[in-house]
Amino acid sequence: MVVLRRIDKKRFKELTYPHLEFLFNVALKYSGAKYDAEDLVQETMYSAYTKFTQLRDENSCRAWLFTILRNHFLKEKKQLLRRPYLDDGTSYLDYMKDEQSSGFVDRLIEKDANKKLHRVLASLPEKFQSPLILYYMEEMTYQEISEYIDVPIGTVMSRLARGKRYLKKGLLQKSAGRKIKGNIIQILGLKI
Amino acid sequence: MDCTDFTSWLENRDTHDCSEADRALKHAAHCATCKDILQKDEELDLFIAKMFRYQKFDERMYSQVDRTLESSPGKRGIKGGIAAAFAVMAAVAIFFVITPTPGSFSSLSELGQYVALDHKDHGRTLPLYEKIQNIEKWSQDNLNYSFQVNGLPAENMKMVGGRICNIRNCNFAHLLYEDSKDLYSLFVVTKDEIGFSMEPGRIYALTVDGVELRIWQRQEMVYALTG
Repeated sequence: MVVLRRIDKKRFKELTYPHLEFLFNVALKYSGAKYDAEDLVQETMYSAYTKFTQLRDENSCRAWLFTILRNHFLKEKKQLLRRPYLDDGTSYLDYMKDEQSSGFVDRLIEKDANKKLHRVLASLPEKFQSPLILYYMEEMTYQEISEYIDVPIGTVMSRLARGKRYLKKGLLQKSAGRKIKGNIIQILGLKI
Repeated sequence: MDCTDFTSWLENRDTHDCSEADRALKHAAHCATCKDILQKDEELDLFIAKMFRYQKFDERMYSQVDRTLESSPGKRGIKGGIAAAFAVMAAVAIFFVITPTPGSFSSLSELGQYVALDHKDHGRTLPLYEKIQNIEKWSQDNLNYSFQVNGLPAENMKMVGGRICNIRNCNFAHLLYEDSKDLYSLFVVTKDEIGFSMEPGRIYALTVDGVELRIWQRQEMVYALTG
C-alpha cells in the first residue's frame, strides 16, 4: 500500500542534497533575496520529502526538485498582485548604438549589476524567467529546458528569444536611466 | 541579408536555424555597424551569463534542511500513512455495516420483520405452494442444498406445501403448515445468509407487527416459525 511506504530519509538525503546548491541558486534568481531563497528551498525540501514516494525515476531527481520549487514559487507569486509585463516595443539594440565598443557593458552597467538583474528578472513573467535561469545559469540546451519545464521545444525557443530581449533591454534601460537621467531621447539612442 | 534582417536575426537568434546564422555572420563580417552591434550583444550576453553564475551557497542550509526533515514528514508521513490506512479500513468497515450485503440481515429483528411481512403477504395464498413429498430432495432441487425439518414444527401439524421466496436477494424455503386452527409459515435459510450470530440451540422469540416468531439455528440452517 502506497500510503504505508516508509520514507527512506537516508536515501532521500543521498538523492536530493547534491542538488541543494542548484535549488538555492534557482530560488535566488526567482526571489532576488537570499533569505527568501532559503525559505523557498526549505519549503521545496519539505514538500519533496513528503512526496518522496512519488519520485519514479531517481535520475530525474534534479528536474523533479526544480518542478516542486517552481510550483512553490508560482504559488507565492499568485498571492502577489499580478501586474502585466509592459513592453514599449523598442529594441534593446537601440541602447547600444551610441556606445563605444570595447568594455561598453562594464561602463554602462557597472556596479550593482546583480541588483539590476534581479529587478529586471523579477519584472518578467515566470514563463520567461524559468527558461532564462536554466539557459544562463545551467547552460541547458533547448531540449533540456523543454523537459524541465514541460513545454514544447519551440515554445522554449520563442520564450528564450523574448526573455532575452526583455532582459537585455531592461538591463540597458535601467543602466541608461541612471546614467542619463530622464532624457527619453537619449535613452532611446535617438539623435535630435 | 541586409542590416534590418541582421538586427532581426540578432534579436531572435533562438528561433532561427543555423543557416541563417551563417548568413548573418557573413553580413556582419562586411558591415562595420552590424559587426559592432554583434560584438556588443555578445559582450552583454556574456555579462548576463556571468551574473547568472552560482552564488555562494551557505553550507548551513544542509543543517537547516536536516532540522526541517526531523520535525516533519518522515514520522508524520508514516503516522499519517497509518492513520490514512486505518481511515480507509474504517470506511470500508462502515460501508459493509451500513450497506446490506445481498441476502444478509444485520439483526434478529430485521430478519423477523422480513419474514413476518412475507408471511402476511403470502402465508395464506395456498396456490403458491407446491406439494412436497421429500423435503431433502425438494430443497436440493430448488436451493442446491438440502435441509431437514424432522420434528418441526409440532407433530400435530401438517405440511401444506412449499415455495421458494426471495427476501433481500436471499433464497428462503418457505414451508406452510396447518393445524386445526391456523396456518403457519416456516422459513428456512442457511446461516451464511444471516449477517449476525445466533447462539446455537437457543430459540429466540419475538413479535413483529402482531406476528409471533420463533427463530433458532440448528447446524448450518436458520429457522423462523410464525404463530
